[in-house]
Amino acid sequence: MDTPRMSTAHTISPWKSLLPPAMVGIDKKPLTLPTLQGAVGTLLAQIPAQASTPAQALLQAAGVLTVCERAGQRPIATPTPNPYGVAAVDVAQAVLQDSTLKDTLRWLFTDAPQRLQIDWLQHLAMAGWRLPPTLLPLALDTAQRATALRPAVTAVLGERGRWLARHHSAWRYAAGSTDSAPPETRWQEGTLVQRVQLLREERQSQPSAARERLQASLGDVPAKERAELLAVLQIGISAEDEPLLTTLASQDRSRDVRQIARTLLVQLPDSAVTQRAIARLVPYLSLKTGLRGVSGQCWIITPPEAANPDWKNEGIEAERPTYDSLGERAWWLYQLARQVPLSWWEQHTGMPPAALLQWLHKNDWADALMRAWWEVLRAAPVAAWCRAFLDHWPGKAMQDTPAAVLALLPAAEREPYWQSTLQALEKPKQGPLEAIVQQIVAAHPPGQYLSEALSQLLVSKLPLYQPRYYYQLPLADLCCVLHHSALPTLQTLACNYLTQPEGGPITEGSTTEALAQALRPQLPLLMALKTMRQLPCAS
Amino acid sequence: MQQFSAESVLSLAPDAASAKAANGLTKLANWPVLGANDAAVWGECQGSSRYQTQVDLSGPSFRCSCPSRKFPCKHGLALLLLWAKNPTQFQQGTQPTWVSEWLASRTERTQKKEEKQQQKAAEKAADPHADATALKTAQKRWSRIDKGVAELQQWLTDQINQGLGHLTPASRKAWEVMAARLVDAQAPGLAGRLRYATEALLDGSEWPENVLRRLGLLQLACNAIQRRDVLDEGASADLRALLGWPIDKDTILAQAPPISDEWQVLGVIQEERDNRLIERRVWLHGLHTGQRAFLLDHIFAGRVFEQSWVALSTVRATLAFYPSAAPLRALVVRSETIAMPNQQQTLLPSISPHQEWQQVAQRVAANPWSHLHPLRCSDATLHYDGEQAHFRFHLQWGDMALPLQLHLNDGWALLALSGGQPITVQGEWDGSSLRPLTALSPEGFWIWTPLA
Repeated sequence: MDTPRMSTAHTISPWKSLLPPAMVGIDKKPLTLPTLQGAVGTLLAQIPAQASTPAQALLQAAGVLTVCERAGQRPIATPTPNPYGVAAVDVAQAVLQDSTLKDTLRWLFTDAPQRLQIDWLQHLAMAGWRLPPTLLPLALDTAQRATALRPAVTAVLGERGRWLARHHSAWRYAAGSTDSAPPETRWQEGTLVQRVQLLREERQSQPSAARERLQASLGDVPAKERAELLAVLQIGISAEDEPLLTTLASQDRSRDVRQIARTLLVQLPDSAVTQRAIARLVPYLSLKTGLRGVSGQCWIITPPEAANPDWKNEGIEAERPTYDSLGERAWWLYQLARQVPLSWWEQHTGMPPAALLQWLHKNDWADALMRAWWEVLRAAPVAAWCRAFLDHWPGKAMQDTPAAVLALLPAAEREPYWQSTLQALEKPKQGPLEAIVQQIVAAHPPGQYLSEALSQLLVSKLPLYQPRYYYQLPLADLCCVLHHSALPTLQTLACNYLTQPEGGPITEGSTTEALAQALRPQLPLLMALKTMRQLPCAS
Repeated sequence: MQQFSAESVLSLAPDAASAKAANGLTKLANWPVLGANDAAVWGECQGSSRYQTQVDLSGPSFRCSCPSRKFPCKHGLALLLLWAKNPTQFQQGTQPTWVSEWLASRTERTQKKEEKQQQKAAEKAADPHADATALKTAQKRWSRIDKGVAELQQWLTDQINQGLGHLTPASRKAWEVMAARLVDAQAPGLAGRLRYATEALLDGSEWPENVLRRLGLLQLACNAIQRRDVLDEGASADLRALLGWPIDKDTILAQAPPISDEWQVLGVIQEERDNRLIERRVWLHGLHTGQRAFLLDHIFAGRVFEQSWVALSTVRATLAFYPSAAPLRALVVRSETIAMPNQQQTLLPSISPHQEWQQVAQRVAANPWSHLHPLRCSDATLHYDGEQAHFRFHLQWGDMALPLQLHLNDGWALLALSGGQPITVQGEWDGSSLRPLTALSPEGFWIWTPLA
């Protein structure tokens, strides 16, 4: 058989004459073989003489056409350009080629904790690399499911990744259009999360512009969104915000919004609203002499005996909620106090935060005032007050945990507290160590690490954890947060366990062995952390 | 020592589930024992029970004490993945007895096989009646086949006389009865082709044409069998291959001079057939001869392929081709891997679409029943056609648009690799669509894995 040549692009299909008899039966519809030019035509023309029945002739013709098609037919098409063109050449970032690092990245996207994913990708971006193309779909899919990962992923996509993202609607977030859109579009068309983000950014650089933008659209948004957007004014709050906050505090339809406005106003001690609040509280606080100590002076609290009808306009509710643990007078006191800045207490009484905490400790009205102070402190953390809370823990009067107070401090300032707790640990125990590890992990966003000294101390105390419960410790996250100098110790521990399953320097049943066993699954993570710190720079 | 990348290891997986399971076992915690030397890597995997897993690196060949019928099993893949990721975790040194025994038995088996071959050849030479016996067996088989083919011819004629329009989903059963009769008539290859036609039945809007195409090829087979005495040697060999007539490996080795070359593995694909049979197809391109070769192996679930092939690796090998009018399928006489895919790629000279199609056309012309063809598309651009399109991706190559059989994720990976620029895609052409098995671009390479 010669090599047949056919162009089927625009000719009538020869199947047209074979199909009707093949479908209804050759007895009902007689066969006419298609006539074709060239070698194929010659072959077809020979069939009637060879075939013994019409059915065989039809099948033979079908066979010949099929073979000729397979040999000669090509899926001809006019070239169509890709609607997204060609990916731009990447001048800023180099593509990662190293196959070991590629494997690590694949592991990272599929198995690593998110904090490591973010940290690793940030290191990758800093070293000037972008992701290898075959990993881009995995990266885009992973970050599509985890929004927290998106900034880190978009930083290593490169031109190639942004180009790819344009092809698939689920990856639009990475296509580079949303973030570069003008603020006006983002504000008008964005989701609540995007609008909050935009407002935060603007508030940091141009606080008044951000406030005006918010003020202009307050009328159009529902209460829940008003509350979330208004809370952003916390960033860079100043006296310029007073008129808007004052209006909202008394006139907004939503109770939540009114309350948020008041909380913000507390941070403006000179505002009219706050000054009025101070004036309301002053009469219930008096200085008595000669009762106690040599200095002979002591502040006494006498909460109001009855509700003032004017309070209603000032955001103070006369009626105590039935479920509340405070008594009626305490309820009023709490509401009065939460409208007053913490700094006023220091000025008015002349006592520093620590002394104030000690004074309140023995007081009958501790529950009410502590609740107010804690609310004010949480809204606008002050380091001195946080430390005072931690050093003079109010006990039962405080409805939250020390961890919650600790969380208000910058991570570096929390370290002394963790350190002293850790140093006090001598015997195997479960609770405190677990609490500290949880706190430490929660206190460090991806890319922030514990100090070297504290990391070493913590690692040395880890064997004190009750061995059987290691799986309850967030070991993976902890490894990501530790200072890198502490990691080799853990790695050696895990590796030794691996190579010496029996006997060896580790005595069976010891707490160290249990730790080593618990660390073994973290080996890939420890390796990834090591690789991350040794990432070569792109050119 | 042989270096593997995770991609190349995963390309050895028999299916997506195995690859996924293997990934799940790459935690060091699962492997209390890990060891390696120049010849092999081994380890003990602790799951619900403890298995001894070993890989002979020269193959790579796998063995595991687990009862899995998949091959290589998840343990073997996981072990090799671990080896690829962190070889430092493997203790270097002398292998335990269970490893050395296996390696020794492999060497012994190869030796025995060679001895047996020599012995067989000697016996054949010594036996004056051997040829007569063989001829008698062949005649017996032909007479059974002739009966079966006569039946097939009648059946084909009946289908056309009645008209394909009468077929219903229930007809599949009747067609399967015919296929089973062909198996009984010692023509399992024809049975396979008939089942292939059954697959097209009532499937898609163009099913009558597709069924007619496949029945037409069967008709050509019937004609060829009737005329078998006048066919030349190559065509006869292709006909016997079409019938599924097994061919003695010694016969192949004895027949044509084997070809030695450095071969690039264009692609490897492994698929599980419904009857627990695993089929592996390996496509090779001779770097110096320009020759294409196709290795086809089957194993029953639980058995072991003698050798593993890594896509895009370069292998120095001697191949003996099956007799055919268009030789493509081959047997490996001996082989040795000389470069793994993560090393610098030897870029093959680019071939024009015209030359590439010419090869396909000549092969089809010489053997009308040839089905799958290796296709190497250099300077081709990948296009995404949207979610609604039947194939989602196509390859623009010269003035042609080849529909691509690709999983969505693989399609995205390939698109990313190309960045809209021309790349080289290598794969299997089945007459209507291309299944990409490997791709190369200046930014790196891609290998088909069952993971997708």
